[in-house]
Amino acid sequence: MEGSIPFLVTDKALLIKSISPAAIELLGCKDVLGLSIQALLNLELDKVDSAIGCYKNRYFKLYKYSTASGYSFVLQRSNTVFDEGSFLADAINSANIGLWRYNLESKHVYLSDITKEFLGVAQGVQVTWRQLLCLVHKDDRALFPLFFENHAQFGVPLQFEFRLKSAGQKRWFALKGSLAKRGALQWINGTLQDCTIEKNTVIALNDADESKQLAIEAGKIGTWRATKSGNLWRWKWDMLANTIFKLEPKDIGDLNKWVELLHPEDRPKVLSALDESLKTGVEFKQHYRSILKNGDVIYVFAQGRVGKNYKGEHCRIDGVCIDQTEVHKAQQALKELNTELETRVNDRTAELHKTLQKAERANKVKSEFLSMISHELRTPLNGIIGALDLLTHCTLANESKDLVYTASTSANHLITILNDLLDLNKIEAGKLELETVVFDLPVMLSEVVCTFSASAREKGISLNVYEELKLLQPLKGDENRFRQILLNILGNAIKFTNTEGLEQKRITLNVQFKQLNIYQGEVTIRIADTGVGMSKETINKLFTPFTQAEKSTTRKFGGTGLGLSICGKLIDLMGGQIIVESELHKGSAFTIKAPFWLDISEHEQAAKLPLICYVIGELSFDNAHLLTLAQSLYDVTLIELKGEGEVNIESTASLHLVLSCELEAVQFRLPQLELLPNLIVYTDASLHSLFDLSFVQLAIYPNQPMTAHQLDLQIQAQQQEQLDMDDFAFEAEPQAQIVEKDICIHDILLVEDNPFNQKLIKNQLEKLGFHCDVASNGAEGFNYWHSHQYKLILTDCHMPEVDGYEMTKQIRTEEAKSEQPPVPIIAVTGAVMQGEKDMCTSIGMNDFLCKPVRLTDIKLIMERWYEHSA
Amino acid sequence: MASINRIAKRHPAVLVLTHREDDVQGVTQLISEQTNDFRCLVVRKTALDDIEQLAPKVILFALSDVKKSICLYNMLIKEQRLVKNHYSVLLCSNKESGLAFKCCLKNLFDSYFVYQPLYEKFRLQLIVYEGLKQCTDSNTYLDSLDSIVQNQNEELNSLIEMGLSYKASVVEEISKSRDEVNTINQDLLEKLPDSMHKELLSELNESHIQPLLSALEESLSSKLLGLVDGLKQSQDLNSLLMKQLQQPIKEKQASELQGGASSDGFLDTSPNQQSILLVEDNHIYREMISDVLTNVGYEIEQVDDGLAAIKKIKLTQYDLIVMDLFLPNLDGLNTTKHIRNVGKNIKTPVVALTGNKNKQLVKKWAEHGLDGYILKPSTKQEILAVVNKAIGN
Amino acid sequence: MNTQPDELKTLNRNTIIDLVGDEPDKIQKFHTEFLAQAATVLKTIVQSFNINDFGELKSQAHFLKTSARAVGAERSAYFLETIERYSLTKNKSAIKQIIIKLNGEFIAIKKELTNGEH
Repeated sequence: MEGSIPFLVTDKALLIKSISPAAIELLGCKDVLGLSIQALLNLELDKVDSAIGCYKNRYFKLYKYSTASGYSFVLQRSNTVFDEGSFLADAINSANIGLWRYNLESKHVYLSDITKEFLGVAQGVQVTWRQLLCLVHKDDRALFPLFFENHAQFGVPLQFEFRLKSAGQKRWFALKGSLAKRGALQWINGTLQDCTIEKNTVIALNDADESKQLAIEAGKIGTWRATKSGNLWRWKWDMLANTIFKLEPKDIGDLNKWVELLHPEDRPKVLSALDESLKTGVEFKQHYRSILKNGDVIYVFAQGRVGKNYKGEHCRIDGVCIDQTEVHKAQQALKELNTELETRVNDRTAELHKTLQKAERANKVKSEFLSMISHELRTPLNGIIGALDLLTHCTLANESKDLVYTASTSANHLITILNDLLDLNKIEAGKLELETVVFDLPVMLSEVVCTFSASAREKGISLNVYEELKLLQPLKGDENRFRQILLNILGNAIKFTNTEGLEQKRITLNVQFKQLNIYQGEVTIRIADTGVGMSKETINKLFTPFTQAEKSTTRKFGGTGLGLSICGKLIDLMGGQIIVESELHKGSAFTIKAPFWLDISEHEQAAKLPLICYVIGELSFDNAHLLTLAQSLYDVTLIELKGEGEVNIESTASLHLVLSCELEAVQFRLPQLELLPNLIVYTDASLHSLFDLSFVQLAIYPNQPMTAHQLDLQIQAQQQEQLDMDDFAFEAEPQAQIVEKDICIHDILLVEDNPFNQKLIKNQLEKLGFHCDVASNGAEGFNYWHSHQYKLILTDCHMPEVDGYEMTKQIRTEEAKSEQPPVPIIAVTGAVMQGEKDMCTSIGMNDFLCKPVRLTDIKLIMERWYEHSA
Repeated sequence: MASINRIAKRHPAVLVLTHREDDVQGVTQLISEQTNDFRCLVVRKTALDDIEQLAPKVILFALSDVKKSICLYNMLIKEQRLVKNHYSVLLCSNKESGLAFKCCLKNLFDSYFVYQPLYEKFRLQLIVYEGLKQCTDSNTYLDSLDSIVQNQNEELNSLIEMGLSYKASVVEEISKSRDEVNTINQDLLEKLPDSMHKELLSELNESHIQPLLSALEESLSSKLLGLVDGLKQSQDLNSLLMKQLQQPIKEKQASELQGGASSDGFLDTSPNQQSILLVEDNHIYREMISDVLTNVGYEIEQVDDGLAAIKKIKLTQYDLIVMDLFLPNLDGLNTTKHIRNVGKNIKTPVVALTGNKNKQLVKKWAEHGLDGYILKPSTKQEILAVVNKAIGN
Repeated sequence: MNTQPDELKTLNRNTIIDLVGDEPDKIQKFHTEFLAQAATVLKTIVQSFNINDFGELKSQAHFLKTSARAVGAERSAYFLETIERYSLTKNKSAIKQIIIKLNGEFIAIKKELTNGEH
């Protein structure tokens, strides 16, 4: 074949290397070797497989084939410069269509350059059928044998699309082909086109359509439309819409069928709206009910838009209808649920309100009950205490005395509890009002300290008071409540410091004052002890009512556990605070801070009296403090006597103090000291007893516990030349035979409704040598007063019929009328209400006795008011 | 019976004391036959006052048992509720007749009678009669004694008055004569021409005559006053006598009773108990000492000052006198001097109670016959040692 | 007395036990009586002090001293004795102090007696 085929061989640069004899013959030239084929044939061959060239005015068609070292070109004589083949090739090229050929026999594959490009196969690489298939997406590989065989055997058109990864991207290709037969040879020629864009669009379209369909079906959305032809509207709706209304397929398009189903109530509204829309082009939007043939009621929402034709006429309407029955039902259910919930909430609220009211009422009842029970309990308790008090004044056997002591301690304890309860109740009910009165802080402090100094001394507790009140100004506030707090906390300190086995028993009281602004000042009192101390948990519970530090504490130390909670509440009321620091087994410190108003009214400041203070020996810490106190009260001249210096006896001052802790040094100067007028010796508490007995003729006082007020009192008392008999009337154990037998003059009137109290007070008076008449109520009392001469009237305040107040009023009026001197009237009252006292005095009572009435109280009252006739 | 009681006299001569009126029905019947001047009293709490009010002469004790009767009588005597010379009869059941007999033997009751059962009716009447008779006797005796003393008193009074009037007249007389002398002198002075003489005379008058007269006046006055004082003293003595006339019965019986009560049995007291007079003003300390001494068997009489002690020692003889050094009214030293001079206790040993600071005084006291001293407060042993030694045991 | 003043006891119970024997009832009776006596005498002492009757003051102090010693009230007895001494020199200011102390001492005795019972 080679001999007969005209061909040329070139190298890569398209320079002719050899030429076949047939080609020489065809071209009519021999000497072409080394020439460029392009130049020779005047054509472009760079990028094409075939071209038509011209040589010696003859046209030749060249087919290019690649070889290992270059190309070989087959020449064919062409009649025209227009090469049909090349035209076709150009067309195919520009349409970007790949060509291929598959030989069924040899399984040989020819791929055009474009095809190779599509498949990502390099030019000039021979690809086998198998290799080709490998390039195809694996899901699509099966298509090839299927289509090819079917085409070859049954003539099924060979046309399918497949996927292929090319240049890293997934692409779609459309393959077409047809069988060509040439004798026994069979091959399939075909094209390959990139259809990725089309395919993707189609897929997306399908997806969109599919999801729309899904949505429409899932949302039970039916579509409907109407077009105007002439003056008639043609209606049409889809199956879904049909299904919604449960219509037959044949009913589609029959608007009346739809109209029939409309709920009679909604029908006019819907139809007029539809008419309106069709006429005016307004959007149609309606919620309506339809009654289906099976009787079901459905809820439908329909919406439609009117479209215009080129003339601007309303020519079509497109819309959807949505079955909202379920939604509606859900909504309905929700609504019901909601209302149910609402009623339930209302019920609950009402119930809550009721309960709240109940609770409030219960609380009120509780308060009232507490108050009532406390008062009720108090009356008999007062009796018990009074009776026990009387008993202690009788001569009794030791055993009975013990019993009486126990009983009276218990009863007194009970009274304290009751008072605490009442207090707490009052505070909790918000009934406690604080007073604002001017008070003297140093005096109050002194009272508080004196209350405990004796018991502290007995228990071996050293009680030390350090006042730093240089800047103190007169204060206004509730003195009694503040005192209550101090008494309670100091009392606790004593209680919890008085424990066996404590090495050091010491309580320190520091008092300070700070001015906050021109109206207010703050008093800070720190009470620190070396007692049992508390744990953190205990501190936290400290101010809660009824909880004492520990259960065991109650057993050991007694107390109700109410005291501190009352203190806490009181200090809250005052706007102050109590700070607790404590360490178990080490001790506790309570810091009480309370604000008070400053008393801005004018105060005269008395001139300080001169006082000479001798310090003999070293000045101890507590004596130094005493010196400061003295300096705050007096104009102090300080003289230190260390060597043998003379005591200046001719001093002008009339007041003298000696501060010393050195017995011998004082002894040494005794003859001189004895000559000083109004001399007081202060020494450390531990030395007091020794000094006191060593210098019997001198006034010796311990320097602690000492308050400024106490110091002042002691110095003043020292100046008294005479002794006051009352100070020396200590009560000895009374003997049984005191009862006097002389004629009893009943010159006291007792008005009291409770027979028990009558007896009690009568007894107590007799014990004191007085005799009384007894009236059971105010009216009786008044009559008694009218017909007898009394020196004194004791009256209960609350009595049936005429009470004590009323009786007092009557007596006072009568006295005024007849110009008699008023008889002293003493109220005997169990109530501890604020204002009770004012009530008594305002009505004309002279004094009052608090129940439980103790013998000493009555004695005091008698001393104050009973006039012994000469 | 009750009716009789109601109309009974305010001061019945005979009184029957009982716990239950029924107990003594027989007795009251018998006595009412004998005299209307009689009452029966049921003993209640107020009995002491009632009995005192009734002031009976013959008292019959018919309480539920003898012991109670004794107690009541004891109390009546101790509190001096009975008339001076009453007649006491103990009524008892036959079971207790022995005890009743002993009581009478001890001079506690004047007589006794067994009223349960009631047999010797006439004896009861006899006893009541005896009692009434004795009372009348002693009453008349006392009355006469009273009148004698009273008369004596009146005499003394008139004597004192006489003395005083005498003194007054003497003083008057003297002043009269002084006036006379003065006028005479005056006359003389006027008559004397010479001033020298006048001077001399007036000098004489002033330095001699007037003092002489004054001295005379003074001595007369003092002697008269002395006389009057003497009279007054005898008057005091007289009144003391009158008091004592009323005392013996009570005191005798009271002291016997005390002796009886101190030992367990009522009556078997040792007859020769040694008695001590305790003189101390502080009653607490006195009680303590008395307690110490009584416990070892001494019979103690307590007084609280020197004067009371002197009264005692005049009448009673003691085996020992224990005396405080400082006593109100009359101190220990002077009381001792007195004891040594008069009364029945000239030789009775005296023991001093003293604080330790008075050793000098004790020494001085010792010169007047002190037989020992007890330092206050002393222990029981110390006190007993000193007392026993002094008393010679 | 050689003892230091502060060794004196407010109430030395041994003294009275030595005197009347260990008889609690009797002792209690005497203690009670002493307190009553002390109360009365103290008043007289104060009265005498206020009217400067030092003679009476001294004799009252002496009187009470006897029973104070007997019941073992050592400090009281010491105070009373000092009052006697200062009465001789009529040292009013000294006596005043001692009376005040004596009062305190009686209160202490009373407290001791009442506490002793419980």
